[in-house]
Order: sequence, then structure tokens, then C-alpha cells
Amino acid sequence: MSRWISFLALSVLVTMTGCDPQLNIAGAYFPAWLACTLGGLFLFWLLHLVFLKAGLLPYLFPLPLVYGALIASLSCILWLLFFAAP
Amino acid sequence: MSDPLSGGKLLRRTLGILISVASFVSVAVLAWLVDQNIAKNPRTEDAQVRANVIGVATQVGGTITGIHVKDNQLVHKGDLLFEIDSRPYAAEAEKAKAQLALTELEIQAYQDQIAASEAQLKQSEAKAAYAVDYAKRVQALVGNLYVTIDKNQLAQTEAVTATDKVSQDKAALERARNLLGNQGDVNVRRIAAQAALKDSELKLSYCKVYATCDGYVTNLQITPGAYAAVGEQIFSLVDKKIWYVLANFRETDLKRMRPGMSVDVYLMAESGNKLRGIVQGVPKAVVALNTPSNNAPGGEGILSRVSPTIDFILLAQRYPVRIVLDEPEGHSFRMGGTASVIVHTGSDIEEGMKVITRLQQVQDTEFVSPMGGAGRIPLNE
Repeated sequence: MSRWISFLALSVLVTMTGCDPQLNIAGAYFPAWLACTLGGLFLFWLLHLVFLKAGLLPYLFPLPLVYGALIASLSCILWLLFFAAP
Repeated sequence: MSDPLSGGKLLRRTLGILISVASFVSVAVLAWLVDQNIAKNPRTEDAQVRANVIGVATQVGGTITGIHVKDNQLVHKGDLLFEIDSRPYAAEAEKAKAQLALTELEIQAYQDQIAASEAQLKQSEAKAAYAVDYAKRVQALVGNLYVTIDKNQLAQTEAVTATDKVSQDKAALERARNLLGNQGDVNVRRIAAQAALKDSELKLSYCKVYATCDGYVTNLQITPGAYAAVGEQIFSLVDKKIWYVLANFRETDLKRMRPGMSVDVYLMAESGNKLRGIVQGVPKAVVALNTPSNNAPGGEGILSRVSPTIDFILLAQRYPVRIVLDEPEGHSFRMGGTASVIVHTGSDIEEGMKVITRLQQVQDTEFVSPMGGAGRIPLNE
């Protein structure tokens, strides 16, 4: 976990520059946090498949809160990677 | 399933607990990191590109006889924009010129009048001196009965009359001098006529309207023949030299903001392109819209209007922070364009202030009146 965080911190340092906080999709502008939430949901879905395959689901407690925390964490990671100010 | 985890229930259980705990720890840490980043670099999507706009208006009324620019055209400082029918103002200027010449003649006439009055005064003074002397002599002879009483009375009367004539002529001289209108070394009649001429020439010069800055003609929707009233804005000129972003930040973000801080500006018009801006100033006042109360002076019988109810949830007031865009050349900024900004509160403020000073040097060119130039505003750059 700590390695994960240090990797994350390193990535933030490496990218050093934030992206445009407004994402242009077919003429409409979406806020960065929305994109991060969607991306976080997608990454969480992948993680969920891994948990399913590993048979870990019955041991994650309380499941809704753990999943909520994971979605939020992944979204935050994406935001810190791509949109955080240096 | 050939997964190594599937073998041990205990392993999976341990892993499950670890992941559960780690997810809570990670969300706390990551949310804190995000919050720290936003607190140190406040951002807002509520921002617009702004420029300085000049409402081009005439100082004299009249029919527009010529428009020398087109809508959306780039013009330079001193370019002729449009013309007002100058004939009435030219006639007015001619009239004022004639009036000045007439005033010169009047001044000459009043000077002659003074000379005449002076001569008149000298004459009556001499006459009075004689009459007074004569009256004295006659008076001395009355006792010895060498002259009649009547003759004496006549002499006394003439002395009084002659003395009064002197006073009268002195007053006439004074009046003639006042009519000339000299005050010290200057003649106020001449000054009034000269000022009237200058005023009419100035009005004549206002018939040609020049660009007061480099900029873009905007919203030009009239054609020659239209009547331009005094002070009425005909179209707008958007100053191209300096561009701003007004970013509406929550009051909670303002305490960290200082002029000179570096800003990342993203324009919707230039998607994905990071521009640089500098905070120029943080405003001190806006109209409070999040309260039904009104504590402004004036209005409602000059008393505060206070609402007995307020909203349960209060939203932070927003203040327009002025951000100057660095290196405006090469960009096609448009006033009113949507922007989003990120202020770097940890940036080098002194360096930012230098940029502000450099950018504002371009802006601080003063307006020079069309008067005195040969048809153009004297350019001082």
C-alpha cells in the first residue's frame, strides 16, 4: 500500500503539470472531476472482476462502504495524476 | 480455478480484511491530498475573458456623413473612424472668427473713447479751475459793492457747475475704461472672443472621430445618414492590447490570493492549451446576492432593509478576481469567452508583479484630444 502511494506521489511529481480541467466532448464541456469519477468507476469494475475471480467478495466488509471507498480512491488517484496542480 | 489464493480460506480472509482497511485508509489519504492540492491551488470554472471596451460616441451632434471602418475591423490608434456633417460647425467657427475681428475693432473704438474722455476731462478741469478762481475773486469784491450780488451768485453757480462737470467727466472716463474691459494687462473682451473661437474650432474638430486605441470595431450597425446625438455610443472598440480573465472565486479562496500570483488559464476556445495569467487584483466589494437583506445606503428611505428569514444553507459569495493574460499576441481572445483558471498560491509573486508592470505599460497610453493635430491624434508612441 505504501509503495502504491509512493508510486502515486512519484507519478504526480513526474507529470508535474495539470491538464485542462474542462474536457471537450463534442462541443460540450465536462468538468475534470466527472471524468475522474467515470474513470474511477471503470477501474473499480476491473478491480471488482479481480476480487470476483479471487473469491474475495465474501471477505470484504462492509462491502458497500469498501466499494464506495475504492471508487472514491481510484477517482482521486486519476484526478491527482492528471488534473492536480504541480 | 488454479488461483493460489483459492487454496486457503484463511489467506483470503486476511487479504479481505487488509483490502477493506486499506480502502478506508487510502480514501482518507487521497481525499486529503486532493483537498490540499485544491486549497493551495484554488480553481474555478466560473471565469470569462474580458477586455477594455470603448463606447465610441460623438462630442457633437449631427448627421453621419461617412463611416471609414467596417464591423469587426482592426483599427489603429489615430485612425479616422467616422465623420459628422461639419458644415454647421464650420459656419460656427467662421462666425467666431468674425466675432473676434469685430471685438478687436470694438477694443480700438473703446480705446479711442477713452482718449476722447481724457481730453474732455482735461478741458473741464481747466474750466473748473478758472471758474473757481473767478468765483473767489468775485466773492472778495462783494463786500465793497464792486460787483452786484447777482454777478457774485452767477460766478458761484458757474464754479459749482464746472466742478460738477469735472466729476461727471471723471465718471465718463471710468465708464469708458470699464467698457474697454482691461483687467491688468489682459483684455477680457478679447479673451472671451478667443475662447469662443477655440470652442467652435474644437467642436469642428470633433466632427471627425478617431480611434483612441488599437482595437476591433464591434457591433457597428449603422450607415451614413444616421443621426448621431451628443454622447450617444455609435459602436464599440475592443482594446486589443490587454486582455483579462475575471474569475469568480468563492470568498473562502480569497484569503490566500495576492496580486502577482501565477495562474494557469484554460480557454474553451483553445481547448487543452494552457495559458499563463497573473493575478492583478482581488476585489473588495460586490453586491451581496445571497441575502434578502439590503444594508446599502440610500434606497428604501435610507434605512437598511433586513429580512427576518435567511436560507438554512448559505452559499459562499463569489468575487471576480482580475487576472491579466500574459503574452496576448498570437491568440484570438474574444471578450466573454469561457475560461477556467487555477491560481498557484505558492508561485513567485515578485516575478508576477514584474509581468503585470510590463503588461500595463502597454495599456497606460493617455488619450489625446483630436484638437491640435493635422486631422489625426498626435501619436505618442
